[in-house]
Amino acid sequence: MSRRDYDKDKETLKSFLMEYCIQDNSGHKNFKYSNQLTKLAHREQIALYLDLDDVHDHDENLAQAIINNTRRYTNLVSDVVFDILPGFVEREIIAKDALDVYIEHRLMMEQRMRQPNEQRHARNKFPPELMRRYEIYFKDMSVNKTVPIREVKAEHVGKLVTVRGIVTRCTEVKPMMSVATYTCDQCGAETYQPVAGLSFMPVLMCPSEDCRVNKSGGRLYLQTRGSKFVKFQELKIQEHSDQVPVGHIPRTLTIFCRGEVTRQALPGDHVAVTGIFLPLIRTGFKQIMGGLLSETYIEAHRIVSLNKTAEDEVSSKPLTPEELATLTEDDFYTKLAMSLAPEIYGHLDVKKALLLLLVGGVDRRPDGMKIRGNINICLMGDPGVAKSQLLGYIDRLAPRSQYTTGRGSSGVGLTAAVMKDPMTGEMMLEGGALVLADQGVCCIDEFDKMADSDRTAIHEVMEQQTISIAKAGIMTCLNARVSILAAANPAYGRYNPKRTIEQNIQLPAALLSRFDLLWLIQDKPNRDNDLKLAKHITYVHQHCKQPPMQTQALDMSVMRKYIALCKLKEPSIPEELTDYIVNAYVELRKEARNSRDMTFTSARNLLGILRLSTALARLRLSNIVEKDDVNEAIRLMEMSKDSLKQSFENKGYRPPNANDQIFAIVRELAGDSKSVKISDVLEKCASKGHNPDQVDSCIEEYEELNVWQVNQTRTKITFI
Amino acid sequence: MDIQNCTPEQWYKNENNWLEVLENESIWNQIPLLNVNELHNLKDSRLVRFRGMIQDMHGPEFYLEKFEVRNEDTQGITVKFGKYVDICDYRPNETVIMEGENIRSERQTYVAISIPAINSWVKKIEEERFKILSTPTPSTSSECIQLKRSLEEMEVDHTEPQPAEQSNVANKKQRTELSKPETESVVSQEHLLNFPIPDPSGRVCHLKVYRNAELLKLNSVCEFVGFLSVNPSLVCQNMDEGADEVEFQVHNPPPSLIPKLHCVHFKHLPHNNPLVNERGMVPERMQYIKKELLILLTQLLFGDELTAEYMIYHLISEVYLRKDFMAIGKFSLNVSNIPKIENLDYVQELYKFLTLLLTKSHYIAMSLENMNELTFIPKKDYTSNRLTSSVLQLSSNTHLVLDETKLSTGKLNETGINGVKALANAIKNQKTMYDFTYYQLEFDCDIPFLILSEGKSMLPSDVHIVLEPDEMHLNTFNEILEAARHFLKPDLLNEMRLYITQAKLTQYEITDGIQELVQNEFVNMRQKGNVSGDDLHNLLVLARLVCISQGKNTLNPECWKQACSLEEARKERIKKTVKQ
Repeated sequence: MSRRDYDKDKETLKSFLMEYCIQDNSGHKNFKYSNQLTKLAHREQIALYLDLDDVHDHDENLAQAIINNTRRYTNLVSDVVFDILPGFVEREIIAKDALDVYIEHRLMMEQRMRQPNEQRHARNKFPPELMRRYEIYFKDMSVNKTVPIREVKAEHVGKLVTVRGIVTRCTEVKPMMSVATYTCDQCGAETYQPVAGLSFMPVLMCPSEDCRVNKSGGRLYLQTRGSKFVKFQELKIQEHSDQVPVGHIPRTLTIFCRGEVTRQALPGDHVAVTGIFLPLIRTGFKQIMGGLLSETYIEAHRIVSLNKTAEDEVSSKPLTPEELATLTEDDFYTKLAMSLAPEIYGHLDVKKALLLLLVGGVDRRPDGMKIRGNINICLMGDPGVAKSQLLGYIDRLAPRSQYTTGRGSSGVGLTAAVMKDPMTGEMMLEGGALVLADQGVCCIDEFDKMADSDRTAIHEVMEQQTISIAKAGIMTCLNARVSILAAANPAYGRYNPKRTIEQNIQLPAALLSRFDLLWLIQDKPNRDNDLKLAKHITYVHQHCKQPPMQTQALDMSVMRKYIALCKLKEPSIPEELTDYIVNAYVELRKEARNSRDMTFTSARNLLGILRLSTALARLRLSNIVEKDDVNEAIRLMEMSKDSLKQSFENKGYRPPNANDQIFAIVRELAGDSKSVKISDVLEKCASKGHNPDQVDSCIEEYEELNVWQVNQTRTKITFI
Repeated sequence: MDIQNCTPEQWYKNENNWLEVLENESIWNQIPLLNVNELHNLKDSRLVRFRGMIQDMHGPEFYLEKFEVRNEDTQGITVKFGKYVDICDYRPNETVIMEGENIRSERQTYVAISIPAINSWVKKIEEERFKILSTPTPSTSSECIQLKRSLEEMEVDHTEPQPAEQSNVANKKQRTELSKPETESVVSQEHLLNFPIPDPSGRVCHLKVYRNAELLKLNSVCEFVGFLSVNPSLVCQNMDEGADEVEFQVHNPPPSLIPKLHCVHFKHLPHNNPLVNERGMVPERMQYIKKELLILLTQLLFGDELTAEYMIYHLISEVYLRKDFMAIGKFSLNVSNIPKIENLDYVQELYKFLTLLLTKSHYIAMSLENMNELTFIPKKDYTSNRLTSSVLQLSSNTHLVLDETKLSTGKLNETGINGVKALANAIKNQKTMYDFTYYQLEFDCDIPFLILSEGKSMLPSDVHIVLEPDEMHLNTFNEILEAARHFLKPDLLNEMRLYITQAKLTQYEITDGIQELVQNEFVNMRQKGNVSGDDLHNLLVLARLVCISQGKNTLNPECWKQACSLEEARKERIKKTVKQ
């Protein structure tokens, strides 16, 4: 490899800094770097970030060269900036601190003492670090991928790398000497010593001309005020849990931060760090081993706090065309749903509902009113029907989620607690699971086992999506835009079809109606399904692997990416569909009234349909809700109701249907007497919402059963 | 090629040849075993073997595999090697040429501990086989380390005369070490050793792994061969920065306590039973031994043959397949209705017999104090930058016996609750969530749990069986114990031990014909009553255990029928107790 011509690079950098500009929409040129340089010159800005994307635009090779040998180029840029900076001074610079004053004085002294025949530059004698009040940093190219901490290896030494991790430890920010300044007690001359490493050996004897010639042996004294210090902080970051291979311990990496990069992160933060990977030069004893071993660290150039790891991941790694191709195949909806918790057999509709919960509907906020888009689902069912497993899977899949169990969490633990700081005595708010899951999913297992008082805390969250706090002098409102996924066991161990849901899971109607979908998962013997299940299980035991499925389950990361992509869409409902939805809702209401079902059909269901259909539109990556979406939403809602009703039929019990109801009316009308007029019956039934056809069929049916007799003219019913 | 005197440099120059030599089992066994030998009987920078479990993984190290050294006096340049050694022997007048033709490589540092919860009979057999009996005559070469004992001994050994030849730099360091006995040490010895279960004869090793490091998983049990590094100059003085002192000491412990091993080769150990040989055991013999074992356990379980049968299956169970959430093959047993016998701790007595049979086992009395004080989940300690071990960090197939009869009413504190949760998770999923403060990381484990309780245990279990003690056995239990001890002749005992490991190693399969049968039976069972998919899993696991307990490797209808009837009998008992 031929040596790079650094002088040429210097020129390129210079022109880059002076000339690089971005044209905005109005054609106005924005000189990104020269503007910053002006600020630097006036001490209004300290850090100068060079975006390698911009450098790449300017000169492709240069950007790569910078990545490969960052340290050197940092110094090069620093030199370049130092040379051109005086050209940017537009007005008088006000000295900001002692060091500025020192620099000024030193320059003045130098000028005064300079001999006329000495043709050297005034600043030459000073170490460059002392005179520069700016810092140069590079921003990695956006096309460069982050390197997993595990993959940072010997070949990265000296290069610019970007890593990602959790901060596990950070030291306090301490001043670190970067240039030590000494004065001599004999001649008064100043001596400077740049410090590069973590420790330095102080100079004792004065090296100045005077002292050396006179052999006066002047002693040097360290000048704290004249020395230059930089802020220094040491961080340790640890791999994210998903980067750790199975059965391994997460790795850690040391990060050194100087100057402006300090105080960017706290323990527990997710960060992306761009920096130079360097070996650490130790002194003293460690050097004995140092010949062989070297510790390494990253000299940070840029630290970015990542709040939502997943979202960032999506932007850095978009779906590949192949992945998108598989996702846009026919029936991708079913496929996606099947890929949820593939180890759980069946329950396709439940999985579809959970998929929609992950995608979520669209939030609407017309004039201060807020209509949530998040979908809440409650899973009920007999013990051992994989409810918890579904919850666990959703918890793992969702980028932001919290998993709690009803018994293990109090209302305070779910919402927010006011705590007293033991040190300062101040009151602090500490977010609970619902707050922490903001914009995510909160999975609550054993929902029925929660204390009533704690459960009421959820009411507000489920509809208003906020948590209001008024305690101990703190009054505030916290956002809790969460989808709630709850799992509940029936109150008496098994679901009793003869009771209503309210009785079965002992939850108040106020809470139940806030769930968009309620599913009852039951475990019923069914020959075909049982055989399939048995086949599945024996296959696993026989072949030690998952049986081949018709559809291959999608990878979790692909799912995550796709869901994140869906969330970007904001579908709206077109005008012509509103009537359709209204009609559908009216139909639902009517049906609910007629069948006197055990669930609630209220205005909330209408909103639920809207939410589900917008979620479906999102899933299609469409901006408009279509009729099919609405149909599917209604179907899901119906299915969820059916799952509750089904149980009745199977246990030889039907909900009171129209016939039964009419019969009851006839009975009532008859009272003690044996006969009833049909006209009366028709009238009464009409008021209860039954049409004459239904009444007729009822009369015929019971006549056949010999419960009553109808006279020839069909005007009178007589009980036998 | 003499494997015992091979030096790191010789190995480095001829790696492939040496590895071939190692293939030979008898040569492999010639290498001294570190587990059973005292450090002072072993030579520095010579090959040793170590059997252990990976307990922690430290960060990688960069080292110079090959580098050039310039002698300042003669200006001559020599090539040195840094692989498989901690300290290179370059003299003070030599300097490393940093810009020379150096090869920079990476190696991994792992912490290995001797297999936790190993039972004494296994240790004894190993000792008999591999202990170097005659202490070698004290050689005058500087390679032999004279003073490599544990720290306490070092202090006692002040007066031991130092051989004159050893007045090199290394030795001076050692003397200074002796004169101020570790007063600056901020971490105690126990802290450094970091065993999940305290083990007085246990050993810890820092491994440097050069090849295939990714094959080593946490908690896997391997036999490592590597160059021992106990050079006393590795005893480091404390360093400048105070904050990192703990971390530094933990990562650079005195080699006398924790030696370093530069691993050249390792192999995974599927079991640690020293009795297993190539001949194995014929199925007929296995059936016979099973009967004998059944007799023994029936007596120990107060004449309850059903429970004894389940106990055998528990002893030979292991997780043989993992699928997403499920660990198939786990067979944690809860024996309830344990009677109280006066003047005798029944569970302890039973456990004593189990230790005789099993290679690895551990007993935890679930008393309130124990639950509140023991930590069950390993936790990452960021101040010393290592994984602090705890009871649940065990290698595969370590039987854990939980004695719930010791539990009394009282309040569980937070540690206790977390402990119960961790245990429940380990039983249910065979997984442990290690605590990394900022997140938890899941590690698979394979620990068969035996829970002995009065009522049904508060912990979950795969199989719950109600013990039905026989009145006569209850009254004469002391005599029974005596007789049982008598019954276990050394040969029979050894065969039983072998039987348990052999059964686990059996290859097992289900043929299509049986599969059909099982499927149909299951559908019928569903029609009849309340059976779920989990029950089928359990039945299949039990059928497998019935099958392998007889030394067979294909499932046949008899085994399946037997499994079904066993389950029926067991469920009948549970119903009976519920009614009562």
